[in-house]
Amino acid sequence: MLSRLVTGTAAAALAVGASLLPAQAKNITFLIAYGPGGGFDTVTRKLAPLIEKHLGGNVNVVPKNMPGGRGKKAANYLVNRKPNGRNLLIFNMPGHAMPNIIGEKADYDVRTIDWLARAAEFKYLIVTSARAGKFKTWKDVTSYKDKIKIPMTAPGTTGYLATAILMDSYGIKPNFITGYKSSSKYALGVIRGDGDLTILAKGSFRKYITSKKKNRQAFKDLRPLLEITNGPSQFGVETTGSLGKKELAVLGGDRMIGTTPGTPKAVKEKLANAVFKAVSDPEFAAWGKKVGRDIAPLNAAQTKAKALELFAYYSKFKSVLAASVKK
Amino acid sequence: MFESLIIGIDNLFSLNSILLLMAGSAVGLLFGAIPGLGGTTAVALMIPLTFGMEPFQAIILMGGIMAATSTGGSVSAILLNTPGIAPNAATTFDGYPLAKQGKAGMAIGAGATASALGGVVGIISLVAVIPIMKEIVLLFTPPEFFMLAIFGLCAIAVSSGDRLLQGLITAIIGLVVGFVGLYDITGTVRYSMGIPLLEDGIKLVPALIGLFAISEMINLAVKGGSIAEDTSSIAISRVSDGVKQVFKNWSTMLVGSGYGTFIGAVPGVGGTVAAFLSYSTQVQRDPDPDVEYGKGNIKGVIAPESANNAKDGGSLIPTLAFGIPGSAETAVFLGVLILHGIEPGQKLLVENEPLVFTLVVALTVSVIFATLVVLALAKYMAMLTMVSVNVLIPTVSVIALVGAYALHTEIGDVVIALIFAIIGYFMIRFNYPRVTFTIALVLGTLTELNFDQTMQIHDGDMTVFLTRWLSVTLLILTVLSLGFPTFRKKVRERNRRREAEASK
Repeated sequence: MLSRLVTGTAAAALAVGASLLPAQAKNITFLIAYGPGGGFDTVTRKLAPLIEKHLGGNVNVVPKNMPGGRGKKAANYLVNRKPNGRNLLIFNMPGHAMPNIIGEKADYDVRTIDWLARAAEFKYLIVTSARAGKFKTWKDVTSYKDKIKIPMTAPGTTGYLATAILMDSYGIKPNFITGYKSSSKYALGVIRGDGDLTILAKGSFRKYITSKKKNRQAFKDLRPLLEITNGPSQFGVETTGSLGKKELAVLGGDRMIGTTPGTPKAVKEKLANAVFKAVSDPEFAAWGKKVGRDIAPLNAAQTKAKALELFAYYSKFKSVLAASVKK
Repeated sequence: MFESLIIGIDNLFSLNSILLLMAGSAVGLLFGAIPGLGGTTAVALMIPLTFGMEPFQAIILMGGIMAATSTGGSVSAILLNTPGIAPNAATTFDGYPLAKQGKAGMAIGAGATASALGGVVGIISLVAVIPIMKEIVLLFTPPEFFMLAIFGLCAIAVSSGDRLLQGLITAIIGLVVGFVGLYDITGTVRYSMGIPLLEDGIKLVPALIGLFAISEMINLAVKGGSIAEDTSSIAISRVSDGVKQVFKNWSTMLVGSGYGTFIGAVPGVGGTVAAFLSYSTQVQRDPDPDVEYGKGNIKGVIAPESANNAKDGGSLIPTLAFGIPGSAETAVFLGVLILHGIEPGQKLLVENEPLVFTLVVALTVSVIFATLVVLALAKYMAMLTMVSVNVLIPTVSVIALVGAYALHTEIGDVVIALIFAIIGYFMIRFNYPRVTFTIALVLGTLTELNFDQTMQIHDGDMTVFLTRWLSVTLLILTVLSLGFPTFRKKVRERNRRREAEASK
């Protein structure tokens, strides 16, 4: 323990200095387009040693946070590197596709990324506050005549876009209360009455409601209204599929891993093989189950097909998405 | 709860755990003291180390880091006029003038002691409010956040002293700079002039490094000598004097700790605001009208240092209760918990109460340990103020610039630090307060965002600020904080006149 700590402390101290040096030949930088601590960060840090394991040899996979421009900065950085497979990025789809769809300036195009694998996905659920008691069913929402206020992150984020598309399909004009930094903060906003309802990843909702001690659980006040799925509801509520909106089932998020476009075929295949083995590793699956992440491995070809499918789907809502971002 | 506390103590008192805690404290002190690095970087860098550890060991290591960074940051704030981390910025106002007077030892002693006591108060508060965490977090909505930010902005008037016009000018510049970048309400980028680096706004840490550290080095280069103005006639004051000062000014420490705990518990506000508010409140409530702040008052060190360490306990309240980080550092800590399969939120409090208490015990022991280290080394650290500028300037400048770069390994941050260094130097030269600029930079966007959210939620109805009890309470406190010093001064002047007339 002590020797690992001493070695690790020295390594951490050196990392600051090492960051000033050119990348080592055998290092692969695993970019994270967001700050430390979030979902993308934890998934990447859990995957990095597993990719090392499956790559074999003496290759270090070093996670590096590069937050900025809602993920654009890291993606721009990736596509401007030499295509040698030394840089990976975990993409947030469809968030990363938005600039391409609405014509915002970006150096990258998600359709030309060299996709390696998908690690995880998440699907959405519409929730309200049980404390407020305004809506008990989704029908209450669709028949509501007044403005429906929806606490949300900034326009253009994945949750915002999914909500905008969902509401548009039901003919509801949402009144977004924007500016919340994360989904946990806007969920709290719904509980304390800032707005009427919001959208949450199912995994997050499940996490919030599984407390044993109800009187101490603010998030316990969240109540599901509508589940976005074509299958049966996990929460005993109406689903978009049962209401005849099967096309909405695609709304959600995918954590996909890609590298610089134009990477030589042999390098790409070796990388794709190792990354797919890492995302399919039982250790990763067990970890995902333990922490409530929906691990959903796809290989390189399937990931590319999924990326193109998402791009095509969201492109149909170009005007809705563009309007929301320019609000 | 008592049983969990015993388990927490038991977890800590093994050789491995104590070594982990000491290592965490040492890393926290070091990363806190080096401008630009800070606790967030330290916690993030240590994540891979925890992979093979038991969850309680990871918590002990991280607790050690988090508790020690503010203490480390106070050392560079006092000695180099450079906040090691942003929450130490207010410590520079009186800490650095004390160092210039050759009282660096006393200032470090007071800062470290206030940090330890503030930290302990924060942790006790954390334990005390565990049963009512939900109510506290739900109490604050955008109108209350807005009023809290306005309360903080009043510190501008206080910090300006007799340079109100200059203070307002720099505050306006601070607000303008704060508005640069992505605005979360609209999702649009403002005032970036097409420069990608500015799309996410001016980062606080590189800006502060330039404004306080490098600008001071430029000033020293122009002036020559050393930080302490006359090294031949002064001796490094006794560190124990600083310790005594904290106990002598116990109410300053307690009020600061209260601010730290309370504001730390409000997600998104953070230790920097807590320290500023604590400092400005101390200036306003000081019963002695002749005492000047900003020129080397020990109470100006005690107030922010007790606040920024107490916030560690406070910021864990929303982190543990709801999985909502109270600060950047706790956001990373949250990631560590998740990596170890521990889901923050009430589930953690209910099912893993011993782990929560392990963290509580680790934080307490670490903050005391870090303070003892600083107190033991303060005398030697204070000698830094007597070092010649020929040695000091290149050393500090390099450390500061590396710190600015290392934060995001972004060369643009170094450019920002250099630009703010030049701005800072001219502010020193023409006697414009840098403090008001910093306050406006920190609070400007918070104020705007919460005002806009309030208007969105309440359909543009401004009366909402006057119809919610907590918002009104904060408004009253704001008015009192602005008016009370003037009122008190006038009453004292009148009393003095009467006394003078009576004695004739």
